[in-house]
Amino acid sequence: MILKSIAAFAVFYIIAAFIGVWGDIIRSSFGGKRSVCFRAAFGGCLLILLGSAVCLAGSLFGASSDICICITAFIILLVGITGILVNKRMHPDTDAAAAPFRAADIAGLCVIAALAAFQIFMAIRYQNENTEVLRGLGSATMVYETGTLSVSGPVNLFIGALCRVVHVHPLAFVYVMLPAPLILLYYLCYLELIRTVCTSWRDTLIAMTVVSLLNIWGFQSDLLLPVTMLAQWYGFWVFLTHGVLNVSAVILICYMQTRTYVNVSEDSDTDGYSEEWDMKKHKIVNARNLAIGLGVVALVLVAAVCVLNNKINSLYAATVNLQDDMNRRCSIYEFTPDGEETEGYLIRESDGKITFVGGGGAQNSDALRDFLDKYGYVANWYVYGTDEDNAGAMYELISDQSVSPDNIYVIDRQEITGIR
Amino acid sequence: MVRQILSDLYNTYRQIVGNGAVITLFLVCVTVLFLTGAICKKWPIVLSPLGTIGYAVSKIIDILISRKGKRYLSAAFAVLIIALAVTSSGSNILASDMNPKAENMMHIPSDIVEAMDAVLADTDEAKVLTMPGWGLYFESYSPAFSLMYDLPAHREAAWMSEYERNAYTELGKVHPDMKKVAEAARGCECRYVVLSNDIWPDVPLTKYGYEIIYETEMCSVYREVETP
Repeated sequence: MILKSIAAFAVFYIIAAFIGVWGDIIRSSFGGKRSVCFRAAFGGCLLILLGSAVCLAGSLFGASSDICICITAFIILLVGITGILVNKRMHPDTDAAAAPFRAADIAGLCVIAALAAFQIFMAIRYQNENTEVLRGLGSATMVYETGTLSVSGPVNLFIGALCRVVHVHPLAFVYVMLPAPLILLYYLCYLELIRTVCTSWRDTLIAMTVVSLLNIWGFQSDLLLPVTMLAQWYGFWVFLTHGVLNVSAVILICYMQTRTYVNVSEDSDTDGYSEEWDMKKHKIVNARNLAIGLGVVALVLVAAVCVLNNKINSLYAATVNLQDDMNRRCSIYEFTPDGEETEGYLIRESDGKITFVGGGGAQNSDALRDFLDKYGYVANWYVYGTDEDNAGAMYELISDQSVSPDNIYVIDRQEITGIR
Repeated sequence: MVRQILSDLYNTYRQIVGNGAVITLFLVCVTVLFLTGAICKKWPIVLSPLGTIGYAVSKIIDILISRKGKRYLSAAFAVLIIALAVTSSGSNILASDMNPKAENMMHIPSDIVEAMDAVLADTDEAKVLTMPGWGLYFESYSPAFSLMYDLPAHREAAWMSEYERNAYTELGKVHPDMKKVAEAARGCECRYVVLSNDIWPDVPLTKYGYEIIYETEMCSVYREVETP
């Protein structure tokens, strides 16, 4: 399985680099810089999009998964070859050489790589107790076992079709083979987005560290589980949110920047910024003071949210076990058919055994039936007498098989006098 | 009525966004970026909420370090606040109580895998009643299983049929009424019932026409007794 995982990782990124040439073409046509990371990110997203689209189309037309994989492979080949040909016809790349890395930049990159590797390791080694993360994988399993596609989540269809080719169960595929390529892909998408907007490596590394930490503390609610990267990296919504949107944002930003010419070189940007900063620093309401003020407001909001959250969680914790606690204790419940006089008592012992005392006449049988239905099976029944007034309800419930106690006892209610 | 509507809105808001901290963080970061003018030609970054937050944080630290005076102290203070904000933005998805060690490659408890294999060894197509939340294990393991009910975490049980609702309600209790469970299983033609051993019914399911065909530490597999 390890070898298969390594092979899957290598194949994924080779194909991504092959078809990712279109990312370089699009970006350089907008005046952006080419980069290996963007090529891999764009190619990876394009690969998943193509495969999912073909499988979804196949499900609509009743094609088998094997045919869809063949069509996907053909389209990938076509896209890659045309991309290489178009790239060769374009003017050669005349981008300026990238700024050399400083020691701090390398250290920062190592920190981010370690965070990503840690997350990939956790995804493979540990399982999420929330079974909702498995929602949708049933369609992948269906495709894997039967080879037939049904209209459902496109990414799941693609996963099922791939599993059929590599002969690996979809669950093992998503939990062992997919975490490394996909989580890395999403981090490449974030890296490229942040590199496009940030002007220095220091800013990029700070932003990437924040993104990594936000992914770790990423669980918001069960409803937002489908967009939580470290819960459902194999899901359609995660792919859309953390992959497609990031890559689209990169392309849009490059496009926006070509509409009005802006000098995006690092030195000029820094000079312009510090001039602007010098002009603004003498104002009371300037960016620094606003940032500090907003930071204080954010801190107060976060503190308020934390306090409220803790209160709600403690209330929840207090109540969530309440029913279990009540079930585990000895409890006594009164049977009052007419709301006034008590006709019996139900005792639930700590091990769950139920004993009923009393019941009254047959006129109480309906109310008693409803009452006992709430608590379950009566093991022992004590009546005050065998006559109709004391045991009528019991007789009726037993005769219509509403109850079938293991033991029935008669209580001899003789008062002991003279003892005092 | 207004209070009820506001209360429902608030509950829905909490249901969707949890504690709401990441949305607050995102809005604050967008505001910071607009006020510092850092987002003018780069507004598409708001398509990526996490990217926006990361970018805004880098901008804030950049501003603080660019100042004269106690710049590193300000930056350190900012880092502290930001770390606090990030760690309170949601729950730690890698926390040990949410993520026990995987027992196998499929990330399904081994006992449940054995139970599923036991059912599949008995039949090619099985309609199964199982514990709330376990249905997704069965569904993702094999298409041979069809389940009695499937209730997503955020849905109410009101849309279920009476049998499904009875079974779902009873199996959520510590002491379920197995008579109702058996009735519900028969009503929905579930020949197999897979139950957790963490529930303690007063009367076992075997008293209501089901026999145990497989048992593990975590769960037991029951099959309907065929009447001749």
